[in-house]
Amino acid sequence: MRTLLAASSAGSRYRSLIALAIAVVVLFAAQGAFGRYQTSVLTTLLLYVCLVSAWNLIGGVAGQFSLASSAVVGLGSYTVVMALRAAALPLAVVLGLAVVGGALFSAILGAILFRLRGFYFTIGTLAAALATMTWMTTWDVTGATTGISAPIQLIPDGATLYRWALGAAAVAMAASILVIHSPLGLRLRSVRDGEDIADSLGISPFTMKMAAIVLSGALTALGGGLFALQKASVEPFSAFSLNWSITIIVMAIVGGLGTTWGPVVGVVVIYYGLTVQLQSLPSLSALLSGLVLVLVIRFLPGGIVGACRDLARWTWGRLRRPRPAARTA
Amino acid sequence: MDIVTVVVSGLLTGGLYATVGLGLALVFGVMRLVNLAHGDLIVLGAYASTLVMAWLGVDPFLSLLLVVPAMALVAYPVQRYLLTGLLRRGLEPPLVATFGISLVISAAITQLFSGNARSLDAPYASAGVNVLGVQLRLIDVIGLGIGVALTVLTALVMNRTRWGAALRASAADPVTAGTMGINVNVVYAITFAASAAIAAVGGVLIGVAYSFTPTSGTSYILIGFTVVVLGGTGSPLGTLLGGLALGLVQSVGGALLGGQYRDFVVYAVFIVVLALKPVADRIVENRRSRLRQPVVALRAEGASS
Repeated sequence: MRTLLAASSAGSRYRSLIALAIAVVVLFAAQGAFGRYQTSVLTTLLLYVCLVSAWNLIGGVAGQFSLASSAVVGLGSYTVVMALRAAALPLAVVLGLAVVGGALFSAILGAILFRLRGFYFTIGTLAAALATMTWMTTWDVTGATTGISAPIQLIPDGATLYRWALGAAAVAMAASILVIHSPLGLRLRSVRDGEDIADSLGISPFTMKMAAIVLSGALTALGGGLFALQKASVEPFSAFSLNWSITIIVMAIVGGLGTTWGPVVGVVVIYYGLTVQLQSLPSLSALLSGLVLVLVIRFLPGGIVGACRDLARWTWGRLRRPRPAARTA
Repeated sequence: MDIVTVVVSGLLTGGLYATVGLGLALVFGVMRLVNLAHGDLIVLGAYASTLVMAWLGVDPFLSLLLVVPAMALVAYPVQRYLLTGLLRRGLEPPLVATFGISLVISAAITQLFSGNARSLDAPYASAGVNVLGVQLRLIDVIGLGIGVALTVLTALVMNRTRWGAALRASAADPVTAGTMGINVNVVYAITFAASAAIAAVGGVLIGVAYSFTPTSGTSYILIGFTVVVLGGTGSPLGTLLGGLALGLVQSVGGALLGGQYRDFVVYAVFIVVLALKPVADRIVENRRSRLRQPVVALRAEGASS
């Protein structure tokens, strides 16, 4: 109980928000120092932070292990590209459309799938992800299997995209911090840890899960839309690929489920530590990330951030409490 | 296509689907483990068979004599030393672990065999056969035969052997089973090994009948779960019926909507079935409690008089 109250304390929230603000300012100011390649790698990294933080809300804080992220990423991608083709709207409006679309789609998904619990929900989201992908490969409006590409003159350049990615990651992180350290976050965790008990205390599990999935879906679609701008064209097999869900979940769990900074750590370790380093060997990096996932869940249930927190707590405890031998002396 | 062909070919595919679902249902029924790697075990079985075929030049189904024990041997320690420990920590850790295993298997296969589609060559792969005046593929008939045979075999082992009794006891109440001298950890590991062995059979069947890639596992896992949800985890017979029902629905759906929607039909059926499942469970529960009521009432009367 004490840890729960501590987690919801205002002090922790402000510390996290200040740390986030400093990180954003530094990354914004340092933009000029990065070359083309570094800018592109950092853009991808920031977009992953956005996606993983978004999944962390539904998968980590609310404990609903969803595999449907890929569908929302794909939806965001297609919304952005189709909107750019239809009308030369400003980027903010186009991304706003993606956010609204992601929220609506997630609401529909949640309304259907939150009738299910535990692994039935997980398998249901897997079916939803595969169904939307199969649907997109047959739908003529979106170019079926060949996909569509955005008008090249409307695609922002690398530097602009970097700033958008930084903004998206900042929004997702700020949303995570605000939710995790709020009564809403406390209610979400209570639904995760004991759905029936939460229900009996007057917390509606359905409403809580819907709030989490809608917020998560809106942020996921934002990240997906920006990923589409980075690639300039979309086709169903990559935009709706289940790999999105897989990568996001691996990053979230390796970093630390339900923690504020876990997504950042997970993205850096998996994306920068494995994917970028083993760029020419994609299947080897997938193999290693699977192994890391199994090892983390076996030996570090709280992920890297959880393990660091435990270690810090343990050393703090050792330092504060004098050893029995010292006391008797 | 006439209606008879659609129905018969659907039922035949259903035999394959039952094989895919059987391994999942076994593991889920006995230890409530959702094995997200089952599809990849199926694909692994198919690739292992290509190796044995290339090495010894034997028939795909004959290669199972080596592939099945190998798969069971690999699967046993995974359950014994990784998953069983995680099962005690709740629902999510084992789920995540099988997710990681799935990733490892599919990536390892891609690394070793490249991502190209393959199939297992057999002289009877495209041979036709005439059953009740309907022209069918021989391999589909074999698939139904294997599905039925595996179902019967599993049912016999579960209901007629001492080992099956230990398995049912471990499923019903692992703690009590442990106090009765059943080594639940070993039962779990053997169950997982048996599930991997069934997956290998399914993999070879899929390899001969269709083609497969390192990532084919994803669609088969979903087919497997659809079968499990349709047929329940109570008995192997239920799984067989679930498989046949799914095959039938897919075949009819594909015939009505067009071939490209065959997969979509499976996913849609699955979501609908899942959405209706709580309702169906409630109806069953209500009926059961209504059946129980008179007994309770009689007892109450007996006590008062």
